[in-house]
Amino acid sequence: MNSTAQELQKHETRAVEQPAERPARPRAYAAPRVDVHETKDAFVVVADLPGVGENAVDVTVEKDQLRIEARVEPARRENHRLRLVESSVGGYLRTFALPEGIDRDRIAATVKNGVLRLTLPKSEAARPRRIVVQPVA
Amino acid sequence: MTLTHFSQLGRNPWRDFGRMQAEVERLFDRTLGHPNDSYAPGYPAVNVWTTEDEVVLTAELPGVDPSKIDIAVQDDTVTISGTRAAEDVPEGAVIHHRERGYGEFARSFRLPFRIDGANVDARYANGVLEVKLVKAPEDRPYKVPVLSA
Repeated sequence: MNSTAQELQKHETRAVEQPAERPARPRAYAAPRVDVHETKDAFVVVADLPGVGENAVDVTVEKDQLRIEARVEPARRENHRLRLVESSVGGYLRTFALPEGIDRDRIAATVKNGVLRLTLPKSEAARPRRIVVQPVA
Repeated sequence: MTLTHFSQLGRNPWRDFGRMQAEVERLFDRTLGHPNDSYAPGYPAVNVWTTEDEVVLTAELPGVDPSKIDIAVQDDTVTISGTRAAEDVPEGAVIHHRERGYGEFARSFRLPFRIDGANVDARYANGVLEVKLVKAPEDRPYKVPVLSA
């Protein structure tokens, strides 16, 4: 298999049956589903990261990219056989182009019940400004 | 010494698990009146682990209020249902992505044994619901004492 195909395989999420006897294979990363909305003050990004606690999420901002990355700890079940697998995600990864005018120092992130909520406040200059039309005297 | 199952000679009760699963879910689709999307919350992704007497079921349900999750057990069937509330989006906001589902969800699983309804353990952490179900006492092997005549 050539290296491009190997790269592609790493990013695929597959559902597969794994009997307890086989060694665990490296688990693929998936892009989390997100809701993004924009108000006049900020962008809000909400991402579903089931299985991820707040210490397992990495949010980084680099140049004009916002990157969300998280690892999912695989459950250790020594005596159990895996019978049905619909989610074999090893972690989550998604990057976004960061819009201009974000005040990076004030980006806030919270994680609750496997949901990451990011607030990206707009800097003063980027907020919509109402221009008052003055009547000509 | 070989072990013989008188009721299911040579059959692994888990072999048909996937097929029975699909049948129960088709039934549910018709009952609820709308097609099951491939994604939670209408269709939370579930993993199932088993031992001889126990089934552990994990369901991905991020952002759900645990008090809004209902777990019902009847005979050999467990049904997980509930609601995920929509995110509060302020009026006038511009929506750029809307990928996360919300609303009612329900899934049913039929196990190859009757479930002990009084001993179901359910926990919700980090958006994952974990349910432990054990075999009902009447389905556990019963050791017959042999008395000398």
